[in-house]
Amino acid sequence: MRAAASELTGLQAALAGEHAAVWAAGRAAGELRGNARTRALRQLDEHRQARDALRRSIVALGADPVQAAPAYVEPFRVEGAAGGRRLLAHVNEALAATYADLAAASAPAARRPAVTASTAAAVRALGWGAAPSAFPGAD
Amino acid sequence: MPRVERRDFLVLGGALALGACTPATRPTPPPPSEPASDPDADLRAATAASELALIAAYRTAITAFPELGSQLRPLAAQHESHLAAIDPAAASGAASAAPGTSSPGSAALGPVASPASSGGTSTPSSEDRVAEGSAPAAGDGPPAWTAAQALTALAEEESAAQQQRATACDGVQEAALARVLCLVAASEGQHAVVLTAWSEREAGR
Repeated sequence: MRAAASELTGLQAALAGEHAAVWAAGRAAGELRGNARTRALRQLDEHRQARDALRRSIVALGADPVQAAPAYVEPFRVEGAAGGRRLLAHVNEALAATYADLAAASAPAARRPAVTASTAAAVRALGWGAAPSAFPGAD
Repeated sequence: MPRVERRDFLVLGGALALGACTPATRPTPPPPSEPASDPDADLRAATAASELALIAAYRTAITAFPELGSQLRPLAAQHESHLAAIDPAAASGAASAAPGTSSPGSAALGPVASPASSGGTSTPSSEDRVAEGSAPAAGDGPPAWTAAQALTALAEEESAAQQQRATACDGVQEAALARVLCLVAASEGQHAVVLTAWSEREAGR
């Protein structure tokens, strides 16, 4: 019972992270051009899919999925392609750590999707200019 | 690979709840026979051994290609951080001498150069590069070993390590260790990507 409660907390946190990532990908795409913009938009789709899957998991546990925030505060000034990249690196690093928390909160047999999502987020962060980290998003 | 079922958690949770309700009758925990006290000891040790092997592989590559040192040393240092988070005892022992508790651990202590992976691209050649006397002569067959190949070999080892961490994460009971393993997998996923990019750049020179 308690395990399910902490897993639900982890799922809600991951959903909030994906909401933020959807916003960030759209925001950054507006600053990017060419291949980078295409990549940001593709990732926007991936974040939407992840968001929808998390919503379904939360509903399956009988809870209400958290909503996206009505507005997001930019963690720093997002301007131009460099700003867009930095925003995506930042958001994806945070997402890597959020999914690690979800993995920890999940029953062992149920951890794999969160582990996969954490690595994927860390690799996306790298692609947007983040430096490799010993504990992505958590150090 | 021992799998822990959700069932086991319920049983454990039930026992804890019972203990909490009736402290007088709480069963005294079994005497802490050392290895049994940490249900994750095996996975912890195997992961530590794997991190030691990675550190050794970086050391080997840096010895063979000192020009890669400035790129590779920060990544190797991150493996030291992984090791310290996963198994502090192994991390302090690594600096001095053989922890020697597990066979993979002792394997890692040797000058491990050739990754376990099939590849075949990665055996360091002692013939073409005898100059640095400290480079371990692990391979018998001497195919030329380029910097690009060394980077590719490291990338492959990182990918394999990432998979191992993900699998280990499914098997551990302690949530904090699961979190660390997940983050280490993510880190090693990053390493694999940067090493591959560096390898391609080297190969293009």
